Amino acid sequence: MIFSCNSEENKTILFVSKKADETGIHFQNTISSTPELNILNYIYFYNGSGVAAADFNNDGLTDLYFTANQTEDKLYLNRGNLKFEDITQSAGINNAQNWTTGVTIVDINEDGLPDIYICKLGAYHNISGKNLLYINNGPDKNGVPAFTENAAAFNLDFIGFSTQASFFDYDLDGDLDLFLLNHSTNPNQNYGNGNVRNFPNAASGDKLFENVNGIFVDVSEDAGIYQSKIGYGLGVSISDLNNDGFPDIYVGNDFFENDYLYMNQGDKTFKEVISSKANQIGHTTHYSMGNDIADINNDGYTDILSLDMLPEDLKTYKTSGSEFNYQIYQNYINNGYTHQFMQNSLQLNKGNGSFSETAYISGIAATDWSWSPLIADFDNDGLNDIYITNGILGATNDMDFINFIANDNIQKSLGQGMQEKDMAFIDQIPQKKTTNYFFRNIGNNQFADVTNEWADLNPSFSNGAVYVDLDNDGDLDIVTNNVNEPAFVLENTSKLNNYLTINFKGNPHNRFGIGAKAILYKDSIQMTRENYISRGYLSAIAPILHFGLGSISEIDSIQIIWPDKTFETLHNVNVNQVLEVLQKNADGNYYESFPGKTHQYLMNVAPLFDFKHRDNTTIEFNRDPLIPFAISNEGPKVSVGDINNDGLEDVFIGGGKRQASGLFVQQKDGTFAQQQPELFEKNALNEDTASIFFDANGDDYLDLIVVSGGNEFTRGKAILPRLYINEQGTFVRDTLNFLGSYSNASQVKAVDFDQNGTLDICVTTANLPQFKGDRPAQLFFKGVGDGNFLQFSENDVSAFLFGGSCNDVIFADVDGDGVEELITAGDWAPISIYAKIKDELVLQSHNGLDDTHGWWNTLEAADFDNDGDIDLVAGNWGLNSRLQASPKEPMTLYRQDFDNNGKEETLVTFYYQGEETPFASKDELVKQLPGINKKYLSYKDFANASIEDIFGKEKLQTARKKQVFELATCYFENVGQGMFEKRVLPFAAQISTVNDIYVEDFNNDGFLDLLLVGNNFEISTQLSRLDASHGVLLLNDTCGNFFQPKGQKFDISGAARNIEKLHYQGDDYLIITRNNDQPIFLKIN
Amino acid sequence: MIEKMKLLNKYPILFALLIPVLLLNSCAEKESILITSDDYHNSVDKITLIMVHDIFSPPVASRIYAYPNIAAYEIIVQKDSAYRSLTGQLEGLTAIPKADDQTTNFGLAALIAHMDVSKSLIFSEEKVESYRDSLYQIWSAKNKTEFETAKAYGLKVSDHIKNWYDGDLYKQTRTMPKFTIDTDDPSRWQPTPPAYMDGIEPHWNKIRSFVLDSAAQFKPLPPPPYSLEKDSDFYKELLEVYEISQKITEEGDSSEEVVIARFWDCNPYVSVTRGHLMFATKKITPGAHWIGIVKIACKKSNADFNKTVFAYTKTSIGIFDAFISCWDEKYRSNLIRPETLIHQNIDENWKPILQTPPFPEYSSGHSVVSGSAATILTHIFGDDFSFTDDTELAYGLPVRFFTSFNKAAQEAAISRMYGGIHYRFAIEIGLRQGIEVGELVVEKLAMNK
Repeated sequence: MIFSCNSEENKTILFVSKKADETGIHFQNTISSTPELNILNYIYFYNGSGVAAADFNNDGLTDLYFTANQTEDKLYLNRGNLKFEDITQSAGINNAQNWTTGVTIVDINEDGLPDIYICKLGAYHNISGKNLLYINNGPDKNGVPAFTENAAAFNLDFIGFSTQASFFDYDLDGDLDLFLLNHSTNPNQNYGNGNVRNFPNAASGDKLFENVNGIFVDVSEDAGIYQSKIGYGLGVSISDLNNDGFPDIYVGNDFFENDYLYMNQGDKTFKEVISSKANQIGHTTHYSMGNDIADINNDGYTDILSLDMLPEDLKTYKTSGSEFNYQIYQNYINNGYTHQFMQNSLQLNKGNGSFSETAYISGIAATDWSWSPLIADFDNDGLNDIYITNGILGATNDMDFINFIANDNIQKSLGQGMQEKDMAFIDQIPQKKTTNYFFRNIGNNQFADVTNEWADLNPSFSNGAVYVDLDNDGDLDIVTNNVNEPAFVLENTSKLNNYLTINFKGNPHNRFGIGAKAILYKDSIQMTRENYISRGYLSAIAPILHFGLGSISEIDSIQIIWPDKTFETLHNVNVNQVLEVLQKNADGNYYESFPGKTHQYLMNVAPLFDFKHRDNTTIEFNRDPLIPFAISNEGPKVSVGDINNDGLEDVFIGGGKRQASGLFVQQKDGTFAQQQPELFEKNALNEDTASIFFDANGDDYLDLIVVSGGNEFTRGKAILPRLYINEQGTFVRDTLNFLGSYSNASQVKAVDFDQNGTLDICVTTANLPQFKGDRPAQLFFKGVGDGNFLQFSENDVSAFLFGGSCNDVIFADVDGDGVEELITAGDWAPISIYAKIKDELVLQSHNGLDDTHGWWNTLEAADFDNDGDIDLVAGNWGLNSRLQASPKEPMTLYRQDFDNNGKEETLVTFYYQGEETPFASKDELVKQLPGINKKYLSYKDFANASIEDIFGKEKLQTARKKQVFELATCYFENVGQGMFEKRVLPFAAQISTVNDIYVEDFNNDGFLDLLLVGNNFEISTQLSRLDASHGVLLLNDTCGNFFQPKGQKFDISGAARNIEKLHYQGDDYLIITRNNDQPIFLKIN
Repeated sequence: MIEKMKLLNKYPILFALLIPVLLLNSCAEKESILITSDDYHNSVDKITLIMVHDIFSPPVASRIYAYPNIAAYEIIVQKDSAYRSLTGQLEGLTAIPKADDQTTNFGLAALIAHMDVSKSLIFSEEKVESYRDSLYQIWSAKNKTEFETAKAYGLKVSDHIKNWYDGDLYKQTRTMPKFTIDTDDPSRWQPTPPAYMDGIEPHWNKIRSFVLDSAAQFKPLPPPPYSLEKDSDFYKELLEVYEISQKITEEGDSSEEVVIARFWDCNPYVSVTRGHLMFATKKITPGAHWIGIVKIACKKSNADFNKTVFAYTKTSIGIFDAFISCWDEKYRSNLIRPETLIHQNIDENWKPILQTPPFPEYSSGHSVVSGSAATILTHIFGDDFSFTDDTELAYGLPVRFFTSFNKAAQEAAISRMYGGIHYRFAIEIGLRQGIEVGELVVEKLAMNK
């Protein structure tokens, strides 16, 4: 703090705001409500307008075109030195009527001069617009170009509700086609069934136009484009997401409608993958605004960034509308919609058709009411950064406005049509003037908020924006279109780093090389950029590619790949220059020449047998709406063993509630035969959560124990462990053991813990049934021979039995004394090691694991660093959610009767920006504790209150508490003497829950590697959805550090639960079970 | 209070000095504080306004009306031998404390108790406080001693009533599980557009009733069996809702049926979307509308203060038990709303004239409540009682004229079918159910002597 003055002075601002008087750009998008058109009758009245950058007069300086919703568009010629001249009138531009939205650039008549395509609102209320195409006739002697509007000549004078256009060559025939993004104007109510998206609507539906000899022909239906009235299209980006040369399309839809990801099938059709619910994208933005697609991690695959409206500020968050509760949310999924949450989404492209949404862990989830994301390298360090515009003149999601302000004012004027006097009501809608964000890419798929370091911006209502090198100095300047304020021109003053700019000279049908790619190579670094210009929101950048190069002074090579798949490789390219590339220099077929081959350690194969786990929708959020996650969807687990001693491994897999578990016996011909289904049908009611094959009676036939849980039953036979004795290949249910030993079980393990030659049985539980919040007791049975089991003497094992929540238990000798310890991991619990001292289990402490309280799901033990002792690795909740935890700022669960009604409530808090706060919304809290409304009826008052104010200091202090200090999935290195050192596993391991870990030396280097699987869907809707894991392979670098190998194509989407190895037909396979789904089968290569 | 006592003990001399001054002041103002029935109407109206602001569901609103009225009523029966205490007649109600001073202004105490119990039940306490304090100031200025005596007594009774209502399981039902939607059975209730809210108050049948021996005492016949067969009774009733709605929508806003539907909407939270703007328009609840009719009847019949309190009390007891009876059936039969079925089977774009409220269909809450309230009001004011109903004027709706309470109840009931939110059987059987509740209240509660 003392040095803050100094650091203030030393602060080098990257972007310098240029004043309108300096630049000559006085443009502002002035919005005025009228009785005829306002936010009450046009939903997108506050959505702002765009900006396009292009060199209209071919003088080497990029010029700017601004659209204005209601007033006059402006065209500015760049006269050098960041001085601009308003040539709107002399250039023949006259667009001041009706309602204008987006703008893009295209050389429609193939003369090398950029033409301007403008989107407008068609027939609507008092509006009667149509899209405009200003054709560039070339500059006069003063360099001033003249334009003539002639959209009709190309069939581009579309009348509808257009948002933005993007020209691209969808069929790779050499000319540019058009995707036209339109928006519905229906108020967002009564959305009914999602299948409405299959019915075209002429004005609101998106359109794909094929360029047929210069005339644009609507091919939407044949191409498979949704064109319905529920398409609230606010953002569109084009990119070749799967690197097959064919451009794909991402459409962001506002409100309840899914976003659309159209994968180009290469035959003039697209396949939309989000609405097909194929798990490739876990969830998207809910209130989708603008989007951008670019490679943020230099892995050669472009990633998708779509914006939403989640407030970063806690108080704004609490006063704004939040996500539907779990039950209502499910209802909306059942109505034909896919998973969407109010947060920005960053879809990291896995390169295998799947995406991992990582906005939270990447640090960019919440940027308020956001419009334009621009992904580009602003500091020229070689990594793409992010600029986000935000702010809205009328924030219509303010809960106090919705519930308390609106009523008194509008009640009577409703239904009578708006009058001039009612405009005063509109003025009462709260404004959200917010500061645009800058995020610096800090590597590792993560970003740092550098808004204040990089620029000195005032809060604004900012919408469309472009990055553009206005002064040709090799860095990207930024121009932003604002509502009711002059446009921002930010000069990039970066000096330190090298750069490269690429200009395209394409074939006559596509002179600007739209759709071309450039891949720059330097040592192991590879950077990919694509030349698509409609980016962000309602805006278009210049058709120029920009590479920041950091300290790279020599480029190894650059590959230029043109839309017709021809390519050119350039060597020894100088940095800090404008490189002009010509399509006529390219040849061959890039995609055939560089198919890209990487060793695949794992390969998806078709299911080896037919089993689909069924689990019902959880009702835990009805029982207790304040809990962060449900524990009702834990299964299934799978067990592998040779039950009939025929040398072939057989499989037992658990069924959900009211579904029988299945025993599948491997046959010599490679098929699996289901055995004794009637036996397991008898206990179909049980939700089986774990099982093991083990020899209970020493007859050399594997017996089976199955345990059940699912948080459905509090007691009774549906949660009783079941022992099946194997009588020479046939199972018979034992009815004498485990009577009365009810357990809402999480895991079962067999171990000869007392070393008497018979296996003992450990049945663990993480939570008492139906979430009582108290410590559940574990069960530990001593094998006494002949398949009989008795509970261990409570005195000997009580430390473990009453040690707390347990999701997994393992046995390993971590202290090297020749005796195995018992190690547990659970919810709100630390990794706990119990050592056997004399005959008693004793909890170990001061071993480096004391503050490891987490939401642990799984544990493995092995010597990863080959130093002779046993290390641990444990799967946790992960770091990709709103929740955070550390010893200093823990998550806390309070059990307390806050309202003195004789029943305890559950309150879960976490720290957000240094303040302890409940994660449940006010609406959810007051349903249980209506007394809160007495103190804080308004959302604003509630937001301003501390949790002590709300719940009472004494109530909180005297509550029973459980805490979490660590949410990361971790590796614990055994550093000797039973001491452990925690190491957080890499980014890929933290993007979702890790539910099981499989240990194997996949690359045969003598060091053990890891396969992690996870995802949890049954979590509070305030926490989004943990669906980003598609299976994570981590190789050991031989020092006990782990890294993700590149280019792995295997995919484990869905709610993965358990991994087991199966030997099958001479090869090793992995069975990965999934909750409420089929298992996935992988072959180990 | 304890603080004050301590103060007295600590400074006896000081108080001894003050007392003559106080006496002097009070001697100067001997004028008695006159409390009229209008004062009581105003207090009830004030609470109604706050309830609209704070947003309470119809069942919860019925609870907020009932207890303050009972508090006031129990005070006036202390003095007025024409009325009998409800002690022992209402489940769990024990005798309120007697006034120490028989010269207490009981009307004033009743009004103070009404405000104080109301304050404890609504959210925006400061709104009651500012209203109360302005009255307190006037009364205090007029006759401080009389005011203080009445206030002390009123608040004492208020505490007694609060203790009583605390045992009605309201708080406990807050922590009970939310209603679970059964998506597998097509006859079961589903959340409805546009807000798709959770089913409200699934445990309201566990709330302690006043007069009913159990929530299921007047369990109505089950609705016709769910069927989408064209000739089934159920489907015919479904189609009737759709067809009537289509017909009157075509006739437009001026159609009598549309006017009736809107007049009796009584939905405390209607989620409105205009353009991008979402907001709630808030109106009074069905119970509040009948409380409004109590006021109209009292005024028209020039009811004195005590009769006014009596009429409010008896009617609000009837409304309260009507909700318990109705909600018991709603979550028993758990029937799907016409809107959901019409969307699924008849017309995807259909919109009911009224917004479907967030709870199961059967039986119709407004019908049950109206049946109960009208029966009680008829008993008090007679069947041949015509009145002009201007209750909804403040919410931009016109006045309507009725020749009797029962006629008004019948119109309120059928309005739900015009509004497209109920089947005819839910209305007819619901009205019957309400009349039975009302008759029980009339029969069982001995209030007049």
